Parts: sequence; C-alpha cells; structure tokens
Amino acid sequence: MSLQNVLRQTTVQDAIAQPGEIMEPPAFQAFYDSTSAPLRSYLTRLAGSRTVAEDLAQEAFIRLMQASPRYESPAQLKSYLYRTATNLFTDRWRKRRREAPLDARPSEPAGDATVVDVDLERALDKLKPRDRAMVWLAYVEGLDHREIAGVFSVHERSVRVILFRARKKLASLLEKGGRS
Amino acid sequence: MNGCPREAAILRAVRAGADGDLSVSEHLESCSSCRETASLARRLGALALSERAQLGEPQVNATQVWWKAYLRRRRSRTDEATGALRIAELAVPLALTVVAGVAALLAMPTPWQQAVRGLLEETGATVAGAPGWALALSAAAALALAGTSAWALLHRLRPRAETTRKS
Ligand SMILES: [Zn+2]
Repeated sequence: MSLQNVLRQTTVQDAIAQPGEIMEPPAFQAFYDSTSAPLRSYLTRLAGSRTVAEDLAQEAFIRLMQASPRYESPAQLKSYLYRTATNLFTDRWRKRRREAPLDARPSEPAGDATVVDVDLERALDKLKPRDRAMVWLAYVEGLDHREIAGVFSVHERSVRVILFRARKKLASLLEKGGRS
Repeated sequence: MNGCPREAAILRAVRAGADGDLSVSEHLESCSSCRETASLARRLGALALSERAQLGEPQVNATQVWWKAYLRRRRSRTDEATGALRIAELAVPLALTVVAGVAALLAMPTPWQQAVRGLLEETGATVAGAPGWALALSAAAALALAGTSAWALLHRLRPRAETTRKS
C-alpha cells in the first residue's frame, strides 16, 4: 500500500460524520413522522405530481438534517424545511420553464377520482405557484405571516397583501365554480 | 387591503376546530371578510385531509432518508479532507519544476549562467564554487522528479473528476 493510500484512508476515516453533526435518528424519526405527509401534500399541490413531490420532500429532509444543528426549535426546523422544499420546487420549476414553457402547473393531476373539492382544486390551479404555496402554508399548515415571509424571503407585509388578494381571487373563482 | 384584524385568530380557531365557540361564531356572523377566510380554511383543510389519505406511505422511510443524509455528509467531509491532499499534490510538482528550471539555467554556459548567478547573488543566495557537472546533475534529477509527480498527479486527478461529476 502506498503512502498516499495510507494517508487517504486515514483522512477518510477521520472524515466520517461524527455523532451530533447531523440530527440524531430518534429525533429525526419523530420530526419526519410529523412533517412528512403535510410536506408531501404541500409539494404535490405545488408541483402537481406526487413523484416530483416525493423527490423534493426527500431532498428537503436531507438538506434539513445537514443544517439542523443551526436550527433548534421544532418551529424553526419546520420553517427551514418548508423554505428548503419551496426553493427546491422553485429551482425545478424555473429550470423546466426555461426548457419548455409550461402553464403555471405541470400536467399530472395532484389527486385522483376521489378528490372531494374539484372546484377548489381548479381555483387553486388558477393562482400563481407562489400565491398557491402561500395560501396552502397559511390555511392548511397554519404558518403565520412572519413564518411565510421567512419561507419566501419577502417582507411580512407583502405576505399579508398577497394572501388577501389570493383569498379574494379564490372566493371569486369559487363563486363561479372554479372557472375564471 | 389587509382584511379584518381578527383574521389570524379566526383562522387559528377554524384550524383547531374551535370555530363553533361563541366569540368566534358571533364575529363570523358580523364579519364577511372572516366568513370568507373561515370558509376557505374549512374547504382547504378538507382537501388537504383527502389528499394526505391518498398520498399513502412515502417511498422512503425516515431511516432511509437519515442514512442518505449521513452518507452525503460523510462524502462531503471526505471531499473537504482530500481537497487539501490534492493541493499538496499540485504544489509538489510545481515547486520541483521551479527548482529544475533554476538548476537548468545555472548549468547553462555563460552569459546566461553569469546573469542568473548575478541575480541570485543580488538576492543573497550563493552558488559560487558549485561545479557545472553538479548543477547539471541536480537539474536532470529535479526534472525527472517533476515529470514523475506531474504524471502521477494527472493520472490521479482524472478518475476523481469523473467520480465527482457522477455524484
Ligand atoms: Zn373579521
């Protein structure tokens, strides 16, 4: 064995992630169990595809774990998770839009024949992806305006205005049965 | 533009299933903005519930995700650690090449040798008295070493660059 190989093996051994550098398995299990389904649901709503949502959610969790020592409270972790997932979706959406212009949302339906509120789904699809995401985070996930502002890196006041307009638009669309 | 100041509280109550509370229901009767918010929150909540029921189990479980994160962390730390080694690998042949170049110049006949010796003497280095054959030999040895190191470096960098691209 050459000296270089010996040196390299020693370095690799030393480089193995130490306990505490990423979230411990029990803590991660608990966090994953409580956030995985809501996150996948949010991403499915955004991306319009369960497969894409699965991939994005997995990547968001992996990135969260690597950054987790910097985020202490569950609320901070959740906020970071949604911010990461949203950024991953945005990057993907921009890339796909550059490659082939798309409508606001890809074509694969989010749900199947058992969807309870087709009008609402249709109305949500009429919103811009960012507005739809904000509505979902506020109304379904219960994030407050400050947290949503953190997810999208915008001012809290902008969140209030966007949510107000989105709600008005949804109400108007739902009055017409989800059609514009 | 911003709706009712009680909207956030009403939204929290609806999400918690407490919209039947007297104070909430009374406000909802009198505030159309909050009625709109509550109605939307109920419908979105029902949609989310049905969607989650359809989503089923994730393709990968928590343990698998944890291991993926662990392995990625380990790989990035390995890359950081080997980065220093790669810099050293680059620096060694570079230094040897410089030494070989200087030695080769010193072994050259005058006036080149005179000029370089003069330059070295100006900067405080002394090569005076070194015989020509010693300088030529050291130049050849340094060139051979530099060549071997450069070859080893190129040979090792290429496969690693491919691995990096794949990951
Ligand atoms: Zn109100």
